[in-house]
Amino acid sequence: MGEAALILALGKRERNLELLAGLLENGGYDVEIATNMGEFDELLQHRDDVALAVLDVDGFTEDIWKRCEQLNNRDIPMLVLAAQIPPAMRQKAVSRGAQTILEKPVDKADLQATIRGLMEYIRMN
Amino acid sequence: MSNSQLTKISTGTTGLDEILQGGFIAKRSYLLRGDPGTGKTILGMKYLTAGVEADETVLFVNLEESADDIRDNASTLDIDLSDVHFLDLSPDSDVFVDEQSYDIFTPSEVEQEPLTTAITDRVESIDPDRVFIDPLTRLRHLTSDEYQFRKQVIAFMHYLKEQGATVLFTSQHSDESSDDDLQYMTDGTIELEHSSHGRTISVPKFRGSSVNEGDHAMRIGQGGLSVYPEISPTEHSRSFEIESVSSGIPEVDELLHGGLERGTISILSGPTGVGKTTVGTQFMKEAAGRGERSVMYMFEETLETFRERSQTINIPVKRMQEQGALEVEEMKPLDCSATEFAYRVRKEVEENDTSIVMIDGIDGYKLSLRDDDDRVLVRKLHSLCRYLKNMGVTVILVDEIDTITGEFQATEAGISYLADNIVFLRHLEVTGEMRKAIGVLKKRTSDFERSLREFKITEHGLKVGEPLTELNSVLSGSPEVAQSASGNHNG
Repeated sequence: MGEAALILALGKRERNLELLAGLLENGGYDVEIATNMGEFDELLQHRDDVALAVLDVDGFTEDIWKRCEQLNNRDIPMLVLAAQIPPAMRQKAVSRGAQTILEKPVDKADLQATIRGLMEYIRMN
Repeated sequence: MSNSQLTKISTGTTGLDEILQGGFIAKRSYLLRGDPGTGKTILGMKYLTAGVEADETVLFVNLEESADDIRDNASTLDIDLSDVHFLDLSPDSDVFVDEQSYDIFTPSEVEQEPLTTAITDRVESIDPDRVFIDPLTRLRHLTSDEYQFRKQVIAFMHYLKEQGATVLFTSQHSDESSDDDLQYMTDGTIELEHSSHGRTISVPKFRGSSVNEGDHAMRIGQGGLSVYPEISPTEHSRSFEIESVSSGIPEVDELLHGGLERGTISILSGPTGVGKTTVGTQFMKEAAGRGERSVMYMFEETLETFRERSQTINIPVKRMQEQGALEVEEMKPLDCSATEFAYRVRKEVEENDTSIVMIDGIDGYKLSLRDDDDRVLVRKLHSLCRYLKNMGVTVILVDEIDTITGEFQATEAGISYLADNIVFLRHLEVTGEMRKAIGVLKKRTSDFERSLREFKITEHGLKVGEPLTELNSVLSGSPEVAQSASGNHNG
């Protein structure tokens, strides 16, 4: 891959997305962010080069899981973030194709390592 | 480094410099502890402005209050911060806007690095001689655990010292988050307290130099803080000639075999209205005639009443005041603590070479001054009197006893052990007539007359008669005419 991989980040809190984008861009990735479903849908419609989606699910309705299904249908790997991850949520996320689920706050180094691992997985497949 | 090589710098608060025996040791770090409202930030401001006055570069790192708020508060106290550099790291109001809040990473990961970078960048660009960080404990919220916090603080202090700065920082202490550990990481700790007994300042730790121990009094007012160090009697003295101080009334001097000696403590004891203040003032009137200065602290009477009363008995208080021979301070209830009072007396004695100090009276002193209890007040009075003795000051304490006549009692204040001299005054009832008597109960430095004498307060002043040899049982308050005198009288 000559160009930087594109990561799509979705989340309600703008500051979370800014911090996330800063970290990922420092890691050499391109990042597109969406703070609501509409923006997210539009990005998905126009970009067919999304390598990975990072979804901060806090604050969204159950519709968020439909987006997970869409991503899964397009074979886009997903990393789900939430402040609390009860078993029912974990079940929903995994059943809709999420590769990794992390509880916030996450350690920056852990997140970077997880994303590197997911990218490696994508490259291998 | 030996003590002789240590450079001390002013803290900006005179009384604190005195407690620290010169001020902070340069290029060291000091912790300023205290609850909200105890004056930590004000002390820090004065520390910085003292640096400005010494042509130093000074930096205020504010981590909580905004720089604008700090400047506003300073201006209300007449503290000029215009030459103080600020590094404003206070939380921006934007943080409260939802868009600015975050939970994806811990604050320690998000904010610590930019904060450290901001501080180091600023320190390196202005190269300050003094740094004040308010409060340092905010770093605690930006570190993942206590170990990291300690490591961060120690590293930060080392860094600032390497830059050549003297560092003062405040801490916020709570039951959930103690700042006890910070005391181990610094060269000194200053503690500020505010209770119903008033404000106090103490220095529990000060590496490299001795300090004046104890709880010293403090006051917040225009210009910042006033600190009143507790008196250490043994640290003060001056040479003086041991001589008798005359009352100006030969009969009183005869009673005392010359008068009251310089550098002694005398108690004038007696019931209300008997003339204790007048007798004390008589000594000060005579001192004024010799060109000496006296000071009187009135705890139980107003200056106006005292002046008018004295005028009618030929003691020209107003003129003595105008000539600078007498200073009268009317003490208002709860105006100050016993430590602050002692400091005021000390300043008066040292700045004006005062030779007589009169405290009128002891009960008022105990009621008016803010302090824990009677024992503390008496201990502080004892300490003040010992200091005055060492300075050659003649001390007159006025002590009121409750009984008007009847069973004799020298003092009620539990301070008789303090006194070198006890002079007592009594109301007498002799054949249905009210009279007054004066006598000496104790005199450490010389012998004294054992008899009582009658005295009167007249428009010409105090009049004291010959010894009352014709009366028996005078101390009971109801004396009887002695047989021989009775016979003579009848005969």
